[in-house]
Amino acid sequence: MRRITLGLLTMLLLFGGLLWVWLVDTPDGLTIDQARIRLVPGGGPQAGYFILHNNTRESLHLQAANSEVFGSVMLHQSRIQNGQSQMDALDAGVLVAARRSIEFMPGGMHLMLMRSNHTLEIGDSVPITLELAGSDNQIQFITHNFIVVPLAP
Amino acid sequence: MVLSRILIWVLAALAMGLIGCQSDTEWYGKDIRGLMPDLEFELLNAEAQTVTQVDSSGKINLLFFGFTYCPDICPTTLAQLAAAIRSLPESMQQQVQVLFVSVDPERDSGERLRQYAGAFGAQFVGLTGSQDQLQALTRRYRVTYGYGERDANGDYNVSHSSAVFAFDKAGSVRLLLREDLTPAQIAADLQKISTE
Ligand SMILES: [Cu+2]
Repeated sequence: MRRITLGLLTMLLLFGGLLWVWLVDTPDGLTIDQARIRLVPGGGPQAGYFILHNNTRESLHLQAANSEVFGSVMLHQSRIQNGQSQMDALDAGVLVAARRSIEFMPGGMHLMLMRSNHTLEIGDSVPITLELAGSDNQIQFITHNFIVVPLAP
Repeated sequence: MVLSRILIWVLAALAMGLIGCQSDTEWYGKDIRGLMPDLEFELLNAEAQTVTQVDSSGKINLLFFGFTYCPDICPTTLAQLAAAIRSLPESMQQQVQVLFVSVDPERDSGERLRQYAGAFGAQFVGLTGSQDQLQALTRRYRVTYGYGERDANGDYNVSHSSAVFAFDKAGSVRLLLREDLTPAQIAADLQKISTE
């Protein structure tokens, strides 16, 4: 009996939650998870990774990124083709469909972070701003702190 | 008719796969004995001194081409190798050496190369060379590298082989380790080479 009640309650909560998500755009229409910079020593470029959730009912287009800490921030895509590895600039940006997420991760898309204005250390927090365009071409900016993490897993 | 022929091939492939699994000559990497030449190179270390395969003799050597302005794929591959090495028994860890060969000598020299390679562990050696030296080595292992166009800041991308070549302690070529192997699989292959 208790199990049934518990089950019903869980279902009610789940359903309610889904309804809530569907009806209401969260106050933060865009959220960022796991924002990190994997520290590559030697003073060359760093790679930034994150998960971007688009909680709105509108498709958005990630167009660019920038940071006061880096002279240049680019959207990049790594690929391995015929045993040859290469990076390409994502000049056309990245689509983030409504209620979907995109992930920038090792071996895939990354923020190419070049010419930092100071030496980064593990544990540092670096603000990076993502630039997204909506259907009406209105630009939204979302700034998030990226944590500098060690290279080795 | 065509279908039955396909079926025969599939069955044959399956049978070979099964036999392969039972054999103890099975590797996670690709066995390239006889397909690639043994370890031989003339390059420059981070101190700009000439080094050759003689300086690496007596160790299991892993050869990987890259460049330090590569923050995504190269560190991912090198971190995989580092994890594989760390998982080996301590006595065996000293017997492995990773030769990280930068094909971007214009930007990768001295301190930058030493710091980048060294970040992955004591077993990682950063090397580079003149274009002639790099061409000779990449040709020897039938891989290529190339430079992209320079942007307004003078930055450029470098394309390079994603393969890791493994050589035994005698410098004989053994395996090609693809980028999709796990550290555990790489470690198993290294252990097998080392205990022969
Ligand atoms: Cu990149």
